[in-house]
Formats: sequence, C-alpha cells, structure tokens
Amino acid sequence: MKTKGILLGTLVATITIFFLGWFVYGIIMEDFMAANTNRIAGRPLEEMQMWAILLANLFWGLFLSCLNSWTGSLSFRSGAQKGAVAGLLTSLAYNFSTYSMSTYFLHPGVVAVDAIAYAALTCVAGGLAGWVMGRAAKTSTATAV
Amino acid sequence: MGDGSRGKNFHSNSSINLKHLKQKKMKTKTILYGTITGTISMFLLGFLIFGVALAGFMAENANPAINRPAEQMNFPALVVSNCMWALLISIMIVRSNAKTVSAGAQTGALIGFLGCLGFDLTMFATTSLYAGGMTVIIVDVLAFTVLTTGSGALIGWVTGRTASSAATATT
Repeated sequence: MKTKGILLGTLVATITIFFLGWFVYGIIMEDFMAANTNRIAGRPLEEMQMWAILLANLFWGLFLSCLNSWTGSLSFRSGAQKGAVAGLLTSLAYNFSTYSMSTYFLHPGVVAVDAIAYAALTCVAGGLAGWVMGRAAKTSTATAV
Repeated sequence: MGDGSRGKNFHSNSSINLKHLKQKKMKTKTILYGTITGTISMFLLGFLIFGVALAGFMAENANPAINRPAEQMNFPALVVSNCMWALLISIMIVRSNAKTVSAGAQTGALIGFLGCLGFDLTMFATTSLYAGGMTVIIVDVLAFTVLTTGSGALIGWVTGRTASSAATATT
C-alpha cells in the first residue's frame, strides 16, 4: 500500500516538476537566470541534456513522495508544506555550496530568488503528491474493509 | 453548576495549551540542537571527504573556467549551505520521529542521495559545471550520501538524547 502510494506520488510529482519547471525557469525566469548566472558554464537550449532533466525530476518526485510518506502528509495542504520546506532548504543548501565553490551564480541574490522559485515548484508538486497518496491510501483502506 | 464546569473547562484548556506549548518548545530545541550538530559534522566531514580525500579528483573533473581555487572559496556561504542541509535533516528526523542513530542515518542517506542526485543532474543537464560527465556526478552523489549519512546518524543521536532528557525533565 505504501509502495503504491509512493509510486503514484512520484509519478505525479515528476510530471508536475517537469512542466512547472519548464514554465517557471524556461519562460518566466529565463531572462533573469541568463542575466545573473555565468554564461561560460550555461548550456545553450539545443545542447541541454533532456534525459538528465527528466531523471533529476524523477529523483525529486521520489524525494518528495518519500518525505510525504515518512511524515504522514497525505493531503494537499500538508504535502505542499513539506514540499515547500524541502525545496527551499535543499535549494538554498545546494546553491550556496555552488556559490561558495564556483562563479556560476553571479551574486547571492540569485541564490535566494532561485531557491524561492524552486520552493514554489516543490510546494505544488509536494501538494499534488500528498493528495494522490492520500487518495491511494483511502482507496486501499476502503477495499480492505 | 454552569460556572463550575466552565471553570473546569478553562483549567483543562489552559493545561492542554501549556502542554502543547511545552511540546512545541521541546521540538524547536531538539531541531536546533540537531541543526548545530549537523552543521558542524557536515562541515568537518565535508572538509575530510571533498577537501582532502577527493580534492584532486574534483579539481580534475570540474569546469576550471568557473571553479574557484581554494583560497578564493566563500566559506560563509559554505557554512550556510551546511546549516540548511542540517536543518532539513533535523526537521525530517523530528517530524518522522526517527530519533535514533540508525533511523537518523537512514533519513540522512535518503535526503542526501535523492537531493544531491536531483540537483547534480539538473546542473549537468543545463550547465558545463561537471566537466567530468556522469562519473563525477556518481562520485559526488555517493560521497555526499556518505556525508549526510554520518551527519544524519549524529543528528538522530543528539535529537534522541535531547528529546528523552526533556521528557524526563517534564515528568
């Protein structure tokens, strides 16, 4: 039952992160990120590794679903809360580490903006994963009764 | 009689509120101790793993055009980064009641593995930061998982001790 919930949550979160990520980073923040990150390291659109993005989103989906499962977040609201906290903290952690060791982020402000955008993304994905996992848990309980 | 029951209700409500407040305070204290321990252990373990054991490998496989040399590294940012990872692991350990060495290690391992893999793959897909390709990502993720497993174990131990000592003090 738990595994099925995590699988469903992962699937929903992966799809959500992929499309929301494309919308947030590919459309809304495209110019901002291009202007505030080191272009020497940025890949042009046609050279981007789409399979790696898909894999990354899959691992993020699994991560959010595991968090929901551990903390018993089986509703949209609680899943969204956990997703937002996890997205914000991991994004800040990873970005600050990248900022400390490379010149990829041109100033700390980009780190903060990127983390907030990513938290919004994981908030929605975590919420949807929590909602789906809650429904899966309810359905399997009803079937068992 | 009505007044008496109202008084009783007031007393039981206020004692429930007080208990709730104490529990919240205890949780915050536990998360704080876990975060401090986690930050220190991540910094030291990170220095040993990435700064000593893997220093040559990482230097060879990272993009030299944007990589900072050791003397130009921004250490305050690195400390903040470690603090954020430790805070997340502590919150998850306390929320999922995994306040033991082994449960803490498992929580740390999963957060480190999935979190690092997710970000590394995104960076690999969109930038040339990892010049060494997938090999450097695999090594980086495994090394980081070792780091968060160790820190998670320590956080689990500290949060378990803090929670049990706080529970003893309350009783």
